[in-house]
Amino acid sequence: MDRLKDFIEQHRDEFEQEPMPEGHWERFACKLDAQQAFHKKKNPHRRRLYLYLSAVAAACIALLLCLSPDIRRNELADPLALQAKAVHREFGEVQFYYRMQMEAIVSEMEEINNRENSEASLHLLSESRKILQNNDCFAEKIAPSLPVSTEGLNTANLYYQCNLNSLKQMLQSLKQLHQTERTTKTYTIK
Amino acid sequence: MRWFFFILSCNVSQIPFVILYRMDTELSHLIEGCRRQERKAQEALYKRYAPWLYRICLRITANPAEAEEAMQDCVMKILTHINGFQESASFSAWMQQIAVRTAIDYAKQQKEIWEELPDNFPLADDSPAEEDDENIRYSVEQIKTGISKLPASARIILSLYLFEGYDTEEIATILHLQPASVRSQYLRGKRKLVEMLRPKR
Repeated sequence: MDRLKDFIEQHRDEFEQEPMPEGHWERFACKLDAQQAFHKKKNPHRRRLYLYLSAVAAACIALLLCLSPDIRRNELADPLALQAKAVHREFGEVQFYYRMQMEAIVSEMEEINNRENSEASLHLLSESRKILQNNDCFAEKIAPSLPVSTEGLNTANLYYQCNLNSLKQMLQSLKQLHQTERTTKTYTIK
Repeated sequence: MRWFFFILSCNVSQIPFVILYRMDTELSHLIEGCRRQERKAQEALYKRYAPWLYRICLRITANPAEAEEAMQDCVMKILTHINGFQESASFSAWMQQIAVRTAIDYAKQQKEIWEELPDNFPLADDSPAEEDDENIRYSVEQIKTGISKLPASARIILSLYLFEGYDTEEIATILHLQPASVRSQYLRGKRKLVEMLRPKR
C-alpha cells in the first residue's frame, strides 16, 4: 500500500492551500493588454485588406450580374438579327466612304471653276452638286428602307458607285473644257 | 430563471445535478465570451482557474516566480487556442494538460536541468514493509518542502503521479520516456522523499 499517496489523497484540501503571489493579477492584466495591443496592431492591415478584397469581390459580382443579362440576351438572340446589325453597320461605312470620294471631286471642280470662270464649268459644277444632294437624300430617305441584307447593301453600293462615276466624268469633262478654252485663247492672241 | 423553476420542480436529491447544470452553463458562457475575446470573460476565466493552475505549475517547477510565469503563460495559451477546444471534451482536463506541459517546459529550462537520481541510488522494491514505515509521520508542509527539493525529473514524475492523477503510461507519453523508466524514477524519487521525511535519530 502506498501510504504517501493515501496521505496526500486524505489531505488534498490542505495541499491545495497555496497562496497566490502578490500582484499576480496586475502582471497578468499587463500581459493581456500587451497581447491585445499586438493583435490590434497586426489586424488593422488585415482588416483593411479584407475590406478591400470584399469590396472588390462585391464589385466583381455586381458587374457580372449586370453584364450577364446582356450577354445572355446576345447569346440567345436571333443570329439573323446579329447579321442584320452587322449589315446595318456596313451600310454606314459604305455611305461614308463614297461621300468622302464625292466631296473630294466636287472640291476639285470648285477649284478649277474658281480659276477658270465660265458658264460651262458653272453648269458642270451645279450638276455635280445636285448629284451630291441626291446622294444625301438617298442616304437619308431611301437607304433606311432598303432590306438589311447583302442585297440591300449591294443596291446602295451600286447607286453610290454610279453617282461617283458620274462625278468623275464631270470632273474629266471640266478639265478637258478648260484645256480647250486655254488652247482657244492662245490661238486667238496669236 | 430557467434553473430556478427547474429546482422547484425537482426532488431534493436532484439539486446537485441542478447546481452542476448551472455551473456547466456558466462555463459555457465563459468559454463563449473568451472566444469572442471579451475582456471580462478572459478576466473571469483567469480569476477562476489561476489558483488551481498555479498549484500545478508550482509543484512541477518548485519556484514561485517561475510557477507564476508558467501559469500565466498557460492561461494565455488557453485564451489563444480556446477556439480549438471541443465541447465534448473536459475543459478542466484540457487546461490541466496545457498547464502540465507548460510547467515542464519551464522546469527543463532551469539550471538544474533534468537531473536524475543516480543509478546506484537504492531502488525501493515493491515490498510494502519498507515504504510503510510506521515511524514516518507525514505532514503536508514537509511533503511540499521535500518534493520541492527533489531533482527535477523525480519531482515532475511524483507531482504528476501523486497530485495530478496521471498513471505511468500517461507520464511516459508526456515526458517521452519508457513506462519502466518512469516507474523506476518514481520509486527512486519516492524513496528519497521518504528518507527526507524520516525522523533523524
